[in-house]
Amino acid sequence: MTSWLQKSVLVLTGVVVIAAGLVTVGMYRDARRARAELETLRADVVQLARSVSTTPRARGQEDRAGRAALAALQPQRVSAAVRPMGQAMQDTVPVNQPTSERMEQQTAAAMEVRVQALAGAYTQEARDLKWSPVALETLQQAYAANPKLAALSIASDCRTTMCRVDFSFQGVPDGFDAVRSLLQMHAWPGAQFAQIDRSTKQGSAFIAREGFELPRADLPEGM
Amino acid sequence: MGLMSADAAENYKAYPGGACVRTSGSAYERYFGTVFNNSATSELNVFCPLVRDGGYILTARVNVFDRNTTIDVSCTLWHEQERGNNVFLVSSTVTSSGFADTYKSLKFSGPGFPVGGYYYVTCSIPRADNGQVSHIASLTVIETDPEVG
Repeated sequence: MTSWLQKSVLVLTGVVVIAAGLVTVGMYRDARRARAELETLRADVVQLARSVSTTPRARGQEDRAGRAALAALQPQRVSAAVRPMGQAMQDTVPVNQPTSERMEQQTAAAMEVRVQALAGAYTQEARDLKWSPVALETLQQAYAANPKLAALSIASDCRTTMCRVDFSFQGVPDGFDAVRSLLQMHAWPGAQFAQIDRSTKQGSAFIAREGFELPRADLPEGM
Repeated sequence: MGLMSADAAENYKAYPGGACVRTSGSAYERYFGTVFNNSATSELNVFCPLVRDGGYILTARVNVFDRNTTIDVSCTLWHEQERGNNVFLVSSTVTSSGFADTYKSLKFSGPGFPVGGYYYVTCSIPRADNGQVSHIASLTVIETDPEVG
C-alpha cells in the first residue's frame, strides 16, 4: 500500500515537473516573439520620426498655399450690408401687378441668379488644402450617420470658403423628405443656400465655411 | 426710393419663445413666455414661425439661456421660396457657445438680398444639465418696412 502511494507521488511529481518545463519553454518562445515584435515596432517608430521631421516643411508650404488662396478670395468675403437693388428689379415686372406678387417674382428671379453666381464662384475658387479635406470628411461623416440619406445620391466637395453638395433623389421613395433631412443638417454654424428642382429630382447646396459668408450675386442690369 | 433699397424704414417685431412648437425630442415645457427643455436625457427641437410683412430680413436674434455645459443651443433661420419646379432654401445656423447664467443673443444677418416666401426658425434646445434647463426666451426680427404698391 505504502509502495503504491510512493509510486503515485513520484508519478505526480514527474508530471508536474514536465508541465513546468513545457510552460517555461512556451514563455521563452513568447518572449522571443515579443522581442522580435518590439524590434519591428522600434524600426517603424524610427521611420515615422524621419517622415515627421520632413512634414513641417510640407505643412508650411500647404499653409502658404492656403493663405494665398484665402488672400485671393478676400474681395469675395461679404459684409452683412444690405445691397440696394430694388429700383432696377421693379422695372422687370408690370407695374399693375399687386406688390406682393411682384415681390415674389422679383425675389424668385434673384434666387435663380444667386444659384448661378454661387456655382460660378465655386468653380473659380481655389482649394484650401488644409481645410477642404477636413470639411469634406466632416460632411461625409454627418451624412453617413443619417440613415434617411442612404437612398440619395450625394456628391460633395469643398474649396476654400465653401462646400458644394449635389444630390439626386431620382427613383427614391419619399425622396423629397430625404432631401429635407439632408438640408436640415448643419455640420457647422454658418450659411447655406440650396436649390431643389422637383422636375429633375436634383439639387445643389452651397455651404459657407464657418466665419465666411457665401459670395453674393451681382444682379444683371434690368433685374 | 427703390422697392427694397438699403435706406428702407425698419420694421421691428418680437415673439415669445413660447410661440415655438415642438417638432421632435422632449420634454417641451413653457415658463412664462419662454420654452424650455425639461428632459435630462434628450434634446428638444422646436419650430418658430415668423410673420413676414415687410420686404426682407435685415437682422434677427434668438435670445436663449444655454445652461448645458457641453451641448449648445443651436438655431437656424430659414427662408423658403418656390418658383415653378424650383424650391430655394436660404438658411443660416448660429450656436451658443457654452454655459451662461444670463441670456445670450444668437444673431443672424439677413441674406443681403431680398428673399421672399416665408421665414421660420428651428432650434435644438439641449437637455437639462445638473438640474438646470435651457430656454428659448424670445425672437426678434428687423425687416425692411413694407411698401404699398
